[in-house]
Amino acid sequence: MTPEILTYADMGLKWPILSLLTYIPVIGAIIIMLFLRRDNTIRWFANIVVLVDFVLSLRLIPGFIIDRHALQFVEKAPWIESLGAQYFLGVDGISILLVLLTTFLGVLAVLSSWTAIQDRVKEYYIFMLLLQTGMLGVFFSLDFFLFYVFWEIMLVPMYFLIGVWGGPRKLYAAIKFFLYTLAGSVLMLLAILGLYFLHYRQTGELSFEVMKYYGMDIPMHIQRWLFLAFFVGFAIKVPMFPFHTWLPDAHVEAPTAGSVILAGVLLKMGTYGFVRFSLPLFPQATMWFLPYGITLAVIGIVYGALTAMMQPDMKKLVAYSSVSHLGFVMLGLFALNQQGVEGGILQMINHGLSTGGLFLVVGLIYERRHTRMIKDFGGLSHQMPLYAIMFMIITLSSIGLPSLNGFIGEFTILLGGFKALWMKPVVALGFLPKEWATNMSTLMVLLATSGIVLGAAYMLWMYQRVMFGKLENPKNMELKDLNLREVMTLIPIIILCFWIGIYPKPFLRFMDAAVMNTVLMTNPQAALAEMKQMREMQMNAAPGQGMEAPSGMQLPPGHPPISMPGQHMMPGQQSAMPPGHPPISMPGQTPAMPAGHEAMMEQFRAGESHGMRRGLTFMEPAAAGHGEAPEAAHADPHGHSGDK
Amino acid sequence: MIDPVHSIALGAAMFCIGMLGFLIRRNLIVIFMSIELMLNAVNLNLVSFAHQFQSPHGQVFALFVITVAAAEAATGLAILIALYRVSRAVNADEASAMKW
Amino acid sequence: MNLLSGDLKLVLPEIFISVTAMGILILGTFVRERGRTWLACVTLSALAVTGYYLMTLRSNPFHPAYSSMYAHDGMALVFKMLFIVVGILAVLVSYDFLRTRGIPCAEFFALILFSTVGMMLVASAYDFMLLFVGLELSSLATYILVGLTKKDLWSNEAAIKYFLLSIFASAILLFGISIVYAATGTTNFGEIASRGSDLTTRQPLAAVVALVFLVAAFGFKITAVPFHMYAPDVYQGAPTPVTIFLAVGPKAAAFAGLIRVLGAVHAMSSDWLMLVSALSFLTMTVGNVGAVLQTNVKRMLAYSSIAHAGYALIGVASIAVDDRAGGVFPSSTASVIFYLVAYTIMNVGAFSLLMYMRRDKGFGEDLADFSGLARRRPVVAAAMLIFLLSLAGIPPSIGFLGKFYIFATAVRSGLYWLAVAGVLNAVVSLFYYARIVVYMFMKKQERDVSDVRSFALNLALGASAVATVVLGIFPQTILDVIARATSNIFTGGIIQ
Repeated sequence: MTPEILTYADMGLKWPILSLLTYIPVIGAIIIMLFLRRDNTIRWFANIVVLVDFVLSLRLIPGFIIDRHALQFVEKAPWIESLGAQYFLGVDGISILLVLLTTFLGVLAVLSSWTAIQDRVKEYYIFMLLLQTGMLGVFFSLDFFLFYVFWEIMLVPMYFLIGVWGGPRKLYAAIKFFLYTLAGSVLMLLAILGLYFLHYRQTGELSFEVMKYYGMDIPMHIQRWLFLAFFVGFAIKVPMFPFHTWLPDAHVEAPTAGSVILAGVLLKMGTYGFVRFSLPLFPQATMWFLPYGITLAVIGIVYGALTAMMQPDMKKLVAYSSVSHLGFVMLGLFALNQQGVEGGILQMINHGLSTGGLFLVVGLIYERRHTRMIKDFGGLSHQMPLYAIMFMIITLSSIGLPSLNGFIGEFTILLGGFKALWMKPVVALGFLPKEWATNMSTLMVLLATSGIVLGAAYMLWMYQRVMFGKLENPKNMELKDLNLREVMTLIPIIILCFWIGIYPKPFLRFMDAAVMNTVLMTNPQAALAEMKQMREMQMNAAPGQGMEAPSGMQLPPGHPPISMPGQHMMPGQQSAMPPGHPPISMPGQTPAMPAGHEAMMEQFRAGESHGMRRGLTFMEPAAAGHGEAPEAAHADPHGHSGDK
Repeated sequence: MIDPVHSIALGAAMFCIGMLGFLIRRNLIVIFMSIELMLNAVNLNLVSFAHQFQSPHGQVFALFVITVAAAEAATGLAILIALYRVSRAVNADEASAMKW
Repeated sequence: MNLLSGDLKLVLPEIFISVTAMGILILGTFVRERGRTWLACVTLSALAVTGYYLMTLRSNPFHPAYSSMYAHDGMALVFKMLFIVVGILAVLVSYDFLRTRGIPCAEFFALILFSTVGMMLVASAYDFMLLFVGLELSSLATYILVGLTKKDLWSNEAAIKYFLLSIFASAILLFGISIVYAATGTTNFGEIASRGSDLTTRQPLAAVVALVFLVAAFGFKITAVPFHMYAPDVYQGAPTPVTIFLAVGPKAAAFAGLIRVLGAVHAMSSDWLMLVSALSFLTMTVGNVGAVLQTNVKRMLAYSSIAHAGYALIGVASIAVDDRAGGVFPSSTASVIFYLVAYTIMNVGAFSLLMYMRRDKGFGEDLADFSGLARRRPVVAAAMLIFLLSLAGIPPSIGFLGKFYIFATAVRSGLYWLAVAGVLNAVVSLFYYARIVVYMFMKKQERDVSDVRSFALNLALGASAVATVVLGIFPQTILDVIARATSNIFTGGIIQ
């Protein structure tokens, strides 16, 4: 099931762009370390380095292939032969947006530190640049060993950033962060080793390549342990309840730029790891874990929101809101269908932007007043109108107001979540609760929706207490509004918020093929059933229009998408979609099926007559026998049938 | 032929006496003597089984042990004297400036 | 005659170094303190020449020398190279120290050389006699080394403690050997393995006693728990260069001996695995927990080296399970050797950094002495950071790779719980390593500490730091060497 691999040469580049992107920051750090002395020179240099990195990362966009799933700009070289570890970098639809987010936020974070950091400036920028390298390396790695190396490298600069330039309890927060995350990481290491040796026993080959592990036949009892080990590692990073306790301390004590990067990028690593590794590698274990996972995600959403409401410290409030938002992302991922996962990934980006923006905003006021307590403020909008506007926009983005980015993400996730429930034919389900699991799921999604309401509550309440009202505190009366540099750190975020909110299609399109591939690997029934449903809807809407229905779904690999007459939603179709919903362009213009799915397609066609009963059964793990029955229900997509 | 059990028994007994002396006694020189006793117990074992097997291995080994024991005695007593010069301590308890 | 000369070529390294040691002693009476540089150079060149000679020597596992007592196989060669490196580093690190503390340098270098000879003999030992002699030679030299600063109370105390406990362990070792001899009638490892294969059934008492005594004795030498009690005191009391030598040299030699003995008595008793696993678990845990409680950095590093012995023991436990190379994946023995190499480099670096700070008449050893180091001497602090991260097992460092290999062999051998324990211990260890980092980077200077400038020390440290990082990223050459070496172990048909 290896996807297409396109090296950077294949894509027309002369330079290995991914390595360049990864190492430019660290080279910049070395230059700063060895040659630069004056603070101001260092500041300019560091900013230029991250800006160059960002501009270079934009080069990834043109030429990025979106109509089929492929690993692009790949660089592959043997590294440690006796282990089978390779230097294997590549991007695909899942990681490209995160990479762009990393370089983007890197620029903003470095820019925002200009006046905030006055002490030990040299080391500060060295660590910021090292952190950039680490994060980019994580997103690019397609070899487990390399991935793990970068994953751990990331921890050290972050530890220093919190521990040296942080707040009053910086030492405690820094070591808590380090130890907590490290504990999760080492468990993940054992799981990686488990996979490595399992792969060796099955194929006789020593390799850490992630792609080679997909589709490996892992017995269920082992799969559960491996999944749990990975899950702990990622859950700590996300952070999911109950592994989240390091986050408030780390965020509150970290310097502003540190918080921006921490919230904006580092937290995404957990969810990224989940999508990239946990879901496709352990499909059955994922199914088994779903009830627990969804429960934890929803607890995170609600708990995060409620706790945020009670915080007197603005930064802590935003930190808990992160827990809440990322619980949402996890819920989307757990939906295991196209909408859910896409919504989840998009919401990762959105969260990075909005929460990054929130931390920037809080940092601005902290730099002026050296306090973050809400009670010390009030009526600031009179004194700092520009700041008020920017703050408001970012707040609304975080809440999820339509026309801003947050709404798109949240809505798509909820759509995916509900879809996961209602994919079964309405007739069969009726409105009578059949299984407890299904009830649970409905309840979960409803609770999640309440999280949105709570989110609005605490954010707006905070904003009101800080910005509106009377300007009473005399210390607040002399505050200066934003200067040009500070505005420049916020404007790009605001622009992106609107862009994604109004026209998210370019962003979603990146992900389509890759997400479809992931969903197919994790949850084949849902993907196929959904495609079938789309097809049927189009067929029903335009009968006899000469659409070659059978061929429509039988796209040989590599075949360009067939443009069907029903490429856009049928008018009747569209009205069925809620307004503002992004066009579900996906299944209709199906990108080329990943190689190796022929057998599945045949089977699907054969099972057509069974209709929607073959639809999504993932929500009934108890009934389906922990994921094994759906496999047995139709021929195993991996080419062998029967029990594992 | 001497019953091997007997020779082992004697060797083991000597070894245990030596070990006990090492653990219980406080005077450093007596401790050292106990160690020598342990080494001699080993020698006894080796020689008696060399005799048993009619092979020179054990006897050669015993010679090695004796030689090494002599070297260690020289070294150990020199260290003891140096310690005595500095701290005037000959008891194990007094030589405990370093704590847990 | 022919055979003799062939064998002689194999032991030439040991003979050469012994002769050099004696020569240095004699030279030392003539040149005294003025000739310190000369003596150091002679020592270093002797070691370097021996190292070069070892590299040109090809291992021949099917021709053990000296009536099968002296095994000349790949593993022996690798260990000997390691000891040469340890010797070189020890000389470099101690060079300026000898002058400031007034330690007679000729004796010091000679003792280092003698100890190296002893260790090399242990690495090649295929008979209990040679093993014993080598072990005792290396230990004897270290007894004197520990007590060499005669005026210092702590040094003397450390020496007497070390001496007595070490002799005690040797006696126990000997008793175990004598039991094995009594049971099998031979002291040669190969013979023991073939003759003693069903000892557990024939004479269970003998097997148990022998096993316990041997494990106890070796456990002492590698500072395994519960035989580790002497280590913190001795490491703390001994002069720092001696601690450095002690922490890496004799320990590695003891591991070499342990691996060989394990191969010999493997079939004798089926309890090896459990024993070694338990030992490993205890050692890691107690070592790490003990380190957490310390405020003296030297003592903390002593406990950390105890913990590292525990990690290496995980590898030894894997050897007890099976010692197959899975495809091209290195065998358990290779992972132990690689870990020892990594351990040597890291520990030399970390301990040596203690020598950069002088306080009053001694050296700065407390955490507080490290405070503010990053401001005062950023390069030194950065080097210490590299070593600490490597010790904790954070990439990209050789320490990470060492731990990775150990855990990989553990997983491969099915020792899952041991792997989990090891991994969690690594997390705990970061806690106390990070404390040093905190003092260096995040606190202001608290004590009045003067700086030490020493070219030789810088050289040793620089090389170690570079090796830590570079080998952490490109370990392939060393791995190849070790893998080739361990596929070449003289077994007499024992280890599969």
